[in-house]
Amino acid sequence: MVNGIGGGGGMAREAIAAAMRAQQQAAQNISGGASLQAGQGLGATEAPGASGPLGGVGSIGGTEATSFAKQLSDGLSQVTDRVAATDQLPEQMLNGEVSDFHDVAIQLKQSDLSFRFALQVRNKLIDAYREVMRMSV
Amino acid sequence: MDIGGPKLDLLARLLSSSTLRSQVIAGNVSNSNTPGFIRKEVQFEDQLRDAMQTSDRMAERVMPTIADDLSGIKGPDGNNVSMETEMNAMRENRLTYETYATILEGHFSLIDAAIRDGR
Amino acid sequence: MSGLDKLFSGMRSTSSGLSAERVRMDVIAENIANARTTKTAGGGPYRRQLVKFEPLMQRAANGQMLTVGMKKAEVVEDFATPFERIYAPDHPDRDENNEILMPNVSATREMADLVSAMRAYEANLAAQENFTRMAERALQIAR
Repeated sequence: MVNGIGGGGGMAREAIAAAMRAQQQAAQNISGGASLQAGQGLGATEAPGASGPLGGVGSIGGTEATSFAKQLSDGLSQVTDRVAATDQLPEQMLNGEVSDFHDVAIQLKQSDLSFRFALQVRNKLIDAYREVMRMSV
Repeated sequence: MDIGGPKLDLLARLLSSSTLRSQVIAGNVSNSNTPGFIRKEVQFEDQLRDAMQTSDRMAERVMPTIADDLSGIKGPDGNNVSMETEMNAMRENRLTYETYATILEGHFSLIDAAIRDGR
Repeated sequence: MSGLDKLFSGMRSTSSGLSAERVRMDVIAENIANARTTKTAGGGPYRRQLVKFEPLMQRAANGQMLTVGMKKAEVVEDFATPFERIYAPDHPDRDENNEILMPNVSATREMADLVSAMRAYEANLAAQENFTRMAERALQIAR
């Protein structure tokens, strides 16, 4: 999908970049960094080094389509991981790995928000694609 | 698309320390007649605040601790648990928990609003 | 032991506390009821009883040990407090000195203990309510 858009030229990239930046800016203003690992209410946190939900998307405007594709793909696998972690919850509960009610709630909420964020990104990408298709002759 | 952040992590840890505190208070109430028992409390917020002034890395390592509280008056059996103290601690902790939960919800609803894009 | 133990450890702790205070109140009631029993089946006056409890311990989420309830260890007789000698010339159980031995139960002490047990009972109830509310509040975050 991304390669096909890349074939449309710099305008397509700019359209997508603008959409991504808007989403990223809004989310980055709010969160911005390490993620809360499942079931870890106390103690150590993970710091994957991401500078925002999409991890340094600022490099989008003007560089190769591959770096954008990679970031998109990384972002999506993070969403998959989150949703998968939520699937593990019943088993974790039975195994006595859940010690606080709020851990469950936070994980569910994060999973939901991650997923919907990804959906929004997809929608923006589709909108940008359609915009581009309207333009090329 | 990871919805996370150090603020979220901090709130989760505060909530957990508050839960631990409620358990420790319940333990004090259970032991109100145990000879020689000293009241226990959870220390976290103060240590966390001090660590945050040093560095965020230090703050991440702070854990809640259960410690003896020697401030109460001991009865003839050496027990210093007072029901008033425990009831007050219970009330205060409950409100603190609710506050942390409300802040956390606020954090999530901002992200939610950003995702909805104003719709 | 079930997987949900950690989630519910607080609530179970207070349940156990409620039972413990209940037992304590029952023993106090027994003492009060027998405050004037000068002759028991075993001979001699009624001897005051008290309950001993053992705290149940469990590892908390941060690794330290924590009381998660009370286990009734035993009901013992109070040998520390002596019987009271009363001059009672008309009492059927009087001895050669016209005296009888009364149980070592003091009404004021039993009342004080009863009040203490009741307040502990109420505190356990309040704590139980708290645990429930906090859990509900936590789950609300997911909505």
